[in-house]
Amino acid sequence: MTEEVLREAVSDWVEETTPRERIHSVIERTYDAASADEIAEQAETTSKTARKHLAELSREGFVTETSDSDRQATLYKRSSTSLVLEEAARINDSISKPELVDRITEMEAEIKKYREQTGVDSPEDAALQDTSVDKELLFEWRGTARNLRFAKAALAISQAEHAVEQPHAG
Amino acid sequence: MTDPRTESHALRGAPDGKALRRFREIFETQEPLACGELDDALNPQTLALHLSDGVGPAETARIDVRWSTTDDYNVHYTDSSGVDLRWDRHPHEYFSPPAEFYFHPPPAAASTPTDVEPSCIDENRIDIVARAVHKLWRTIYEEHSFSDANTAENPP
Repeated sequence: MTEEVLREAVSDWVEETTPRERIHSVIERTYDAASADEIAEQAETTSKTARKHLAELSREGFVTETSDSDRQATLYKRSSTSLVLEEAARINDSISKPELVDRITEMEAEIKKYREQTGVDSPEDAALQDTSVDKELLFEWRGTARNLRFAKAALAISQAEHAVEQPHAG
Repeated sequence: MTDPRTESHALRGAPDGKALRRFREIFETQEPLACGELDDALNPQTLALHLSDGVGPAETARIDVRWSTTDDYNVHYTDSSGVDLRWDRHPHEYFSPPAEFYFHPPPAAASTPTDVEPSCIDENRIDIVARAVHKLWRTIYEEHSFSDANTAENPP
């Protein structure tokens, strides 16, 4: 029982984009490995087309290929390296280095506060210990932890680029 | 059995800034008079889509979007007349049968089992949900009424 509004939304998306753009959209945020068939279905296209574009995106470093012996299929996911570099570049384009340093310090302080509030070291520990920690808080904590990693990567890249650009002495 | 009063409405995964940016881009393209804003550029949790007008008598309105790395989401309409409604996707364990896609109807985006309805947006792809939300917004706006906010299949 598909709703009219969803059917229209799907056909609008298909009309407004190419299969390659849709595959790119889907795999850009595929953080857990999926098969070409699954990605094709999400992207409203054929498995053959998906395989072709995913192979290309894999050669470009945007996608990581793994094989799964259980399913005897090639699996694809967004390359973590590609994702981290993309987020770092976006951060460095949008914020000054001093501001970035300040924000990193702030996010580290937020995480320290979460630890003090909950008595656990990480959201993963909270799940393992089966504590009654507020799930909303855990969601925010996972976000801060993830974004802190991107921010730190941005700072490291910015510092490395600066070091590389320095003229050699004497 | 979980007590509905303590039922968590939390999303799985982590807040996904990339997803919020994509939702903003799609919605602003479909609705040039809307203006999206992340609550924080470096550590975003929520996208606020400021609408130029509310449904019916409301002069201003906003759609707040939260989206996770596992494609759980909240899409929450709120306006200056005090009306709230929400479409979401996340585990709702205390409903029978347990399901993931729910509509929390106006006027207060109610969360009790008797008030919620299965969402007409039973979809987790952001490219589809953003377009569907825009269509539903246009429908309720043009009709000056919330009755089609979760459009049901017409009976035969």
